[in-house]
Amino acid sequence: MTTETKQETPLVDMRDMRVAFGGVHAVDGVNITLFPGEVVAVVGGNGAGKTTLIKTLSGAHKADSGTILINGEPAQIETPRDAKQYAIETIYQTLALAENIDAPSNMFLGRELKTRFGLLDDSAMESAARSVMGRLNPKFQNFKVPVKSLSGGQRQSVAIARAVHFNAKILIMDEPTAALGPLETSQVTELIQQLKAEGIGIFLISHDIHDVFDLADRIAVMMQGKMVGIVNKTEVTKDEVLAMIIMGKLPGEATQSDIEHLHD
Amino acid sequence: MATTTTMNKPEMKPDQPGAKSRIDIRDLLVRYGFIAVTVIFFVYFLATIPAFRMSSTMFSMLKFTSVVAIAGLGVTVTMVVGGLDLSVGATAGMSVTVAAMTMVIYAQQGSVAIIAVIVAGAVIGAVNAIMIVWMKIPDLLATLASMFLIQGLKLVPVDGQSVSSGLILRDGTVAPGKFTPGFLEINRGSLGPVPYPVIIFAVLAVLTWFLLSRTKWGRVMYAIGSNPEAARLAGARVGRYKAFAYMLSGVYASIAGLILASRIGQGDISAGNSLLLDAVAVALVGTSVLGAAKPNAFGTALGAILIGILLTGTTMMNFQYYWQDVVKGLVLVVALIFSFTLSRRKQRFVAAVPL
Repeated sequence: MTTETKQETPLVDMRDMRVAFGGVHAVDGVNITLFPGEVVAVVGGNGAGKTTLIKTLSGAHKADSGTILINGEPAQIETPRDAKQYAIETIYQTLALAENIDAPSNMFLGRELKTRFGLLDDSAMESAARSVMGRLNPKFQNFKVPVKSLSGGQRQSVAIARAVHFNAKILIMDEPTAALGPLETSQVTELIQQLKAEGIGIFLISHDIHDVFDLADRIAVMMQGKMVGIVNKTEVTKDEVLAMIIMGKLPGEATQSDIEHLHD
Repeated sequence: MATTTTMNKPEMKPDQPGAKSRIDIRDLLVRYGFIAVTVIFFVYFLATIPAFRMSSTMFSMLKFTSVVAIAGLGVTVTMVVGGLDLSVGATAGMSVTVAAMTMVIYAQQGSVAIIAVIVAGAVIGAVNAIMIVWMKIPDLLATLASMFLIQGLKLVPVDGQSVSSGLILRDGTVAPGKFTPGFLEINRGSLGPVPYPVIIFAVLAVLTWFLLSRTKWGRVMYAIGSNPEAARLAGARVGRYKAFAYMLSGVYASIAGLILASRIGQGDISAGNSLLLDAVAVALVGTSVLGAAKPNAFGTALGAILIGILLTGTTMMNFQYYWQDVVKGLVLVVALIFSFTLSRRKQRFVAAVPL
């Protein structure tokens, strides 16, 4: 019972995605779409398969089978490099930064700017980093120190700046606020609204039901590798989503007593 | 994209660089302590040992150091990608045997020997790379295994004997060749006052520095050493860079072996035995130079030179030979104190070494 209301071509259309680890079906025949300017939250308990599903889109993990359409065109995504070809950028829960190099080097990691002679153009990278960061987080000034000396929020800024600089059309955020304090979380929230307004489609993986209700347009609930359902945020209550996450029951299927059990 | 959102974050923890302007003694120590120690010893030896002042002493010291320094540069490159090549000593030792076999048993020119040795070094690097990248064996274990393999296998074609001219072969004939004068010139020759080994060392040090700090390859290699998963997710082909590092290390070790072979002038089977630990030591010492807290070519070169100065100085002051290891150990401890105890960046720069 997915709620498909939009008629335009989805930015991302993943069909019948499957990933197995040994005999375990981590992702088992999942369909999901993402439209421009939309935030789709992918939620579920530990081991529900949400991170694995999304990794097949970011290229971090290869799918066993399934079709990914980007703007309606079939896409081959097997490595993170492939994903970047389709303007898919990912911000990882673990803040995937190389600790011993500085913020500009991390932003351009793997896509370094070079001078005419093929050498690293550190000053160009730094000025590009300064210009992106000037829009995202003007107080950020630590461009020359290894990122290991930065705070969680500053590192998150670096990760987001990387996605913004490379003109992400599709942004994957895996628990973007997990490492952050409340103030920093609200800043990321604000940033997501901004990116959304620019027509970027965002997949948001989250444990936090409140975050999800604040940010998402649609909520995709997974359980044991399968998609329980995708619902419009405006049409459901938090309790109904919790019932989907915990019991795998769609709104309507869950009885009043099921809902009450959630709060035991 | 016109993003106007601001993320106002609490900035600048008090101990971050740039947050203070006053001179910090600890920072100065971390940055310049190692160089200061080098200069102090150098000046001390200059002042107290007349023979130390001769320029020939300087150059013979640098020449003596060059073998360890070149192998250490190779180790440095593998440390940059988060590994450690334990096979450099064995590779250098094998190079001595390969050079001797090529010239003495097969009676080839020195140039052929040079090519054979470097190719052999690259092959060992490739084998290490296959084990580490493709078979996913941890760096330390893979190179430990290849160290034993090389040490043993190099003895098979020479029946466990050192190869020198006049060697009696298996079929009873005398080996036809000898170390060519040209090959011996690698160690003995010089450009003006500067011995060839010192020139080779200097060129490789500059090349390595250039690779590591001025090229995309170096940048990505440091990223891999720090967080291979982040590098992979950023789109770097991690396997290629690691393979390249081990191949380079193999080639450097074989170049160190060439100089060693030229110095010894025969296929001594025990050559290179002590090289591994010295090479690892200078690479580790190098991490403390200028507060880099990461493996780097300049540091390794300077580390090798400091140890060279100390060994030359203590030898000239008639210390017994066994003090050499004490000196190396002390230098390493002091360098590690600069890197770990005093530095605020208490990070693990050698992923392969559990610290």
